[in-house]
Amino acid sequence: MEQTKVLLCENSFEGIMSGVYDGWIYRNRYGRENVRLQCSRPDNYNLFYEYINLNTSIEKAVKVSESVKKKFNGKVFYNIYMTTVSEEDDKADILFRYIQYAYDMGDRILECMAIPEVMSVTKICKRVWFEYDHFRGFIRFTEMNNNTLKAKIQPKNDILELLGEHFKDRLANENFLIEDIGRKKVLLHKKECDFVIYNNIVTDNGNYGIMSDREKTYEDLWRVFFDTIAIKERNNNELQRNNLPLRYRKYMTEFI
Amino acid sequence: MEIMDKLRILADAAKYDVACTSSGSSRKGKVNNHTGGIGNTVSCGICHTFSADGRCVSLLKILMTNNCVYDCKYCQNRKSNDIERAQFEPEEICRLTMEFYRRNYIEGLFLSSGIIDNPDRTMELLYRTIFLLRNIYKFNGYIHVKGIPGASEELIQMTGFMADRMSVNLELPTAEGLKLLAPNKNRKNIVTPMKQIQTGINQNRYDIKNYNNAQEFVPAGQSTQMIIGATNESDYQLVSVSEALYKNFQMKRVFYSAYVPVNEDSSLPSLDTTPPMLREHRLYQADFMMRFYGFKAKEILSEDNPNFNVFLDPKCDWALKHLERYPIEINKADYYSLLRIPGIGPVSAKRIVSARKHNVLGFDDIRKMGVVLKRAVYFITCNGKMMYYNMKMNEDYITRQLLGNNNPRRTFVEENNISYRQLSLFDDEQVLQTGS
Ligand code: SF4
Repeated sequence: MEQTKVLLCENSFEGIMSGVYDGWIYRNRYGRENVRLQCSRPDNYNLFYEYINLNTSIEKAVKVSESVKKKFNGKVFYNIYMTTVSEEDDKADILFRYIQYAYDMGDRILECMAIPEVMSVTKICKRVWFEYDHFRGFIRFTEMNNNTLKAKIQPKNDILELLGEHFKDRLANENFLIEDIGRKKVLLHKKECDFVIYNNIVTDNGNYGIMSDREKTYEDLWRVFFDTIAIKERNNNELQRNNLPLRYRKYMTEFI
Repeated sequence: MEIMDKLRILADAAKYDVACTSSGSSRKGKVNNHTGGIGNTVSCGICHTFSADGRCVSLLKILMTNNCVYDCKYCQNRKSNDIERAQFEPEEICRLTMEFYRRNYIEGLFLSSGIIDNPDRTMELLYRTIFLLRNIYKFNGYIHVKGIPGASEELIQMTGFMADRMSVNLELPTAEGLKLLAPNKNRKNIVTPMKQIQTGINQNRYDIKNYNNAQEFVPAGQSTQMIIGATNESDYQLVSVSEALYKNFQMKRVFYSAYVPVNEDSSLPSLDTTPPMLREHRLYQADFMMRFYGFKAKEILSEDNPNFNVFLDPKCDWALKHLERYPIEINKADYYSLLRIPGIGPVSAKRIVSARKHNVLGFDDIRKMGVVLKRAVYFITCNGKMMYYNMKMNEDYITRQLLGNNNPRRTFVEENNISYRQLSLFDDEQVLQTGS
């Protein structure tokens, strides 16, 4: 029996896609069942596995993405992207298998829920979309005295880029930045330009800069509106908590 | 008066309006069209927060003024009430909307108003505000504005070209109710702008298809709302009214608002009446069944059975009344038959239809697709088999199972040994009182 090869790739869209490219070569040599792709460092090394570190190659990543985009319904690429930014530990291997199935069966993969990887991907995408959808509503910008809007988030999934796409259209005429406190990533958007994401930025939990003079007034106006708009006779904290779980409230103006 | 006080008064005055959704419109940011400005809209809408009553807050929902010359009996802003009054300047509304929007507090503006002098003057002020917001402040986000009954056709038309959604409140389900409680309004004045907006939307669809630079008219469609429980219509009357509104005016949504007693009046429920929340909930369920499951109002309720079952949602109730149609075979039934199974919604029904092309589906498969088996088991077979042997297809048994464990309603049913056929004899208050 072949020894299982565990390929270790970087935890990013490029890392995983480039890993899929390399994985394919291993798969052809050792067989589908004997190759695993992993993007998190293993906690325990298994004696019977062989671990191999992969380097991320943008070229390889682009080749895989382009091929997926060309061959399949756009939904397949979307699913892959959403899975790569998810918090799921095993996502690299799930995707590696998912993509192999896609090449076996084509677009039918979108409907084949009987395959566990397809089901997993569907569920993961839903979770990521859900969090993204929540954050694009719940995120709060603060106006700084240099007329930049600043926001902090701490999402489970790495949705910064998705949020960037949403806000660069909506707030195209604004300078804004969004900081993912947990991942130490900052998204910067300059008026009428595209955005850039910087990694490994240490900012003392986003506590820097000075608020604009009128910022406090608008925050207070919002709090007044928020408190007033509820109908007292229908108070329902449980429903409120179900719709807006506490973990989102940390940086929301009306709750702080 | 400070802007803070105005906001407090005029948000408070608007809070009973229910339609706070920002859905139905999809528009890219204007920078892509090189005109500057701020904002876009997304078709599914976005909730920005949830207030203490658990409702989604998506729009800055305010009245232009609560200084109303009308005297609708159910309304806290009515002329005869002695309350704090305020009025926004159009610029104030624009600035609030812009600043709230930039900070991502809101999707846009929901603007309504009490009647200032007369309907035309009111509509004109609403129009002027939105005109400023769109053209001077270059706001490209979501705008929902009320059509004021009795306002001129021209004003409504001009407003419609700048709003995403318009709504004219039906207020009360019947013309008699309206006469009784809103002496300054009449059914005809309400229906006229509804019809006009509908015609405008249809005409606009044609224009957009045929002319390159046609402007959009109310792209997110028209909605309306009515107050539930201030007058004594039956539930059957209510769902029939909704059905007619969807059919005759192509409403996007009909909203229901459980009456909260704010005024003392002999023609109104007393001040200690609790808002009929369960009834409102059942109405939304029935509304959903009509819009997405293909149910007709007269299937859900009827003259002989005019009120909702307080124990069971209307879909389960319908299923129990039609046990002879079940069980339904998951691998064969068409989409609409699947939708008639409790525990199956549009999403899981679609998944079933597409997945069964490839495999024969079993209970485990459909569970994974989101079917709520706890409810569905009594009504389905997979590949000819029911989930458990010897399952009783008996309405009393199924009723109790559907009510679920730890449900005070189930305890009530069991302790009093109530059969399915007797359920409709009880209303919610009786059940809750005995239960507690
Ligand atoms: S018109 Fe009637 S419902 Fe509207 S604000 Fe005036 S009194 Fe209230």
